[in-house]
Amino acid sequence: MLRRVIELLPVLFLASIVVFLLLHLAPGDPSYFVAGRDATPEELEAVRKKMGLDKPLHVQYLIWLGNILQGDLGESALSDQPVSRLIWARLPATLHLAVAGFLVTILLSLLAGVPGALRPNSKVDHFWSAYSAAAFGIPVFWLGILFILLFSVRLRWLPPSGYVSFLEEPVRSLQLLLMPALTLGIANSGVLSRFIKFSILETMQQDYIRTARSKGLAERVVVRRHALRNALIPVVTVAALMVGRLLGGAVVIEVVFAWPGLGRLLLEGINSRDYPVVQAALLFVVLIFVIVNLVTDFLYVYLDPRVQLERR
Amino acid sequence: MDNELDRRPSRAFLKRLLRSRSGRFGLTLVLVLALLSLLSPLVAPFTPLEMNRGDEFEPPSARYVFGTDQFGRDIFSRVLHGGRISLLVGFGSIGVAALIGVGTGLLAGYLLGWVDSAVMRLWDVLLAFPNIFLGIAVVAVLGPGSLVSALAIAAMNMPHFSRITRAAVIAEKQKEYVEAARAMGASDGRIAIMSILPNTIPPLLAQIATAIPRAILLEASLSFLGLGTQPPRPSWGNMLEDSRDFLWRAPWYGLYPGLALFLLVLGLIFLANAIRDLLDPTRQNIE
Repeated sequence: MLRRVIELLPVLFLASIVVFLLLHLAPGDPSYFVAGRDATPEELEAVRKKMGLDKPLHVQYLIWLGNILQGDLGESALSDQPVSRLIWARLPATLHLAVAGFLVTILLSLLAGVPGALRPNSKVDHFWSAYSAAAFGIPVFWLGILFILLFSVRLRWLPPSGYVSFLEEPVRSLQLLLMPALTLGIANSGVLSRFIKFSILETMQQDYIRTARSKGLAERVVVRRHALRNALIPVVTVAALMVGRLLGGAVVIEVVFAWPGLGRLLLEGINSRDYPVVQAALLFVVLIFVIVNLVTDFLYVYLDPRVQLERR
Repeated sequence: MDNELDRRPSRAFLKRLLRSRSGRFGLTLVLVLALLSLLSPLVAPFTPLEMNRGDEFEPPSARYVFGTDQFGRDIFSRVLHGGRISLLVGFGSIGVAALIGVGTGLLAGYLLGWVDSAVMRLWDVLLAFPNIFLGIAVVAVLGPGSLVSALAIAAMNMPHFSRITRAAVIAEKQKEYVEAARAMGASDGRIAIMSILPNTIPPLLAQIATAIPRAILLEASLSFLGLGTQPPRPSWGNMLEDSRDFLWRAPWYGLYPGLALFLLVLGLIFLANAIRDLLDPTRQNIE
């Protein structure tokens, strides 16, 4: 277990170097990007000093990394606010969407994956197979636009875009959440439902299923107690890997539905060349992604004691 | 099976591909869309940048099959032209990724040692960025554009090609025919390219087939986010981005570019599934 954690450190270290270098590879003077467009010469000088721009690159990196490890992500070049505060402000909206999207993904994937696996080549199977293929191929942002066209433009049932906190206006918050969460869920269920289906199909061919059947257990019990439980173990790993897709899809969906999350912050940072924001947000995403992968590995061992991480 | 051992393996492969339903469906869809796009200067009724004054926001009609946008540009013509960017970036980026990935994979798998460790660490780092974010990072340095997004997409795909090749090389290296080649005095380079490479082709082909539709989706996503192809040049992603401001006045604008993208990606996915089934007969039993 510990070894897996230690193995991740070089990846994180190298990724942080990549993020650090973004600022220095971009054409132009880094101090100008960090201090902002309206900076006075004195401010520029102060920034240069703080970043150690007169020192060699590896020293600059160490200064930068040291600051980050102490929780100082720098200040936005645009608004002079601490970047950490900007990230914290956007985090709730992103989590709100990600959690809802994840739940919808799981629900839809089980709905689309299980029936087809239990009755292969039936009408149900063909229907949900077609659904999975369509969900896998549909562009996320187009799906979002289609929902807006249907539910907001045509039927006028739902507000097209925006975000309010659940604590402030629960009903409106849920109304606004519905389309983005559904979009995210459908888009991700394409992969996951197929995976669930094949995992169950494979499990149903195992010897212990034949044993369970031959000792006279009802088919329902065989499916629930023996097949599904075992089939869903590998599904957990894939479901957790979906977090990467979820994060990526969320950026696009945040744009479609004007959702003020981390993805939008990152894009705003790119468009206004606000490098401290871009660096911090990217680093944050990489960290989450790497941690999720690690947790997945642990979860896998926990669910299936036969798996041992140390002997890969 | 009948005359499966055709002298020309690629032709036999195509024959078997056309025998599967998903292969036929995918290939037809992709060929129709690709031909329409590639021949768009001949097929499209207007040039993609032509603004027709007074015809802004025209709904679909005989003159404007998919309607017009806020500048009176013909959306049908723009969709056809936009397809060229999608195809170019999709196939081009995967081509580059496959070349570099296979090259590095051969090196790493054949030489092992520090070359192997260095190459694989590099891919670990690239894979630590979930794909859209790698695109964002590349754009942060190089600025937005079609070429930059193609580069970013190539970079996201290199690790997979490299890993697949490396694994295949390590597996093949043990086999007797490599031993035989070496005994006959073949050089390292000759063994790697003439003996081992051909045997890594099936998994690589499957990877190429699955990567292309994903690359096309990513190009559209990046353009949608304003990081890829820049207006006024039409791409399906930036048209859909543009359409968001006019969903009430011109719902057709949000509909057709996405439909084209969806159909092309769907066709490519069906084609990829058919190709994978052909290359790996054990999969057919499950499906």
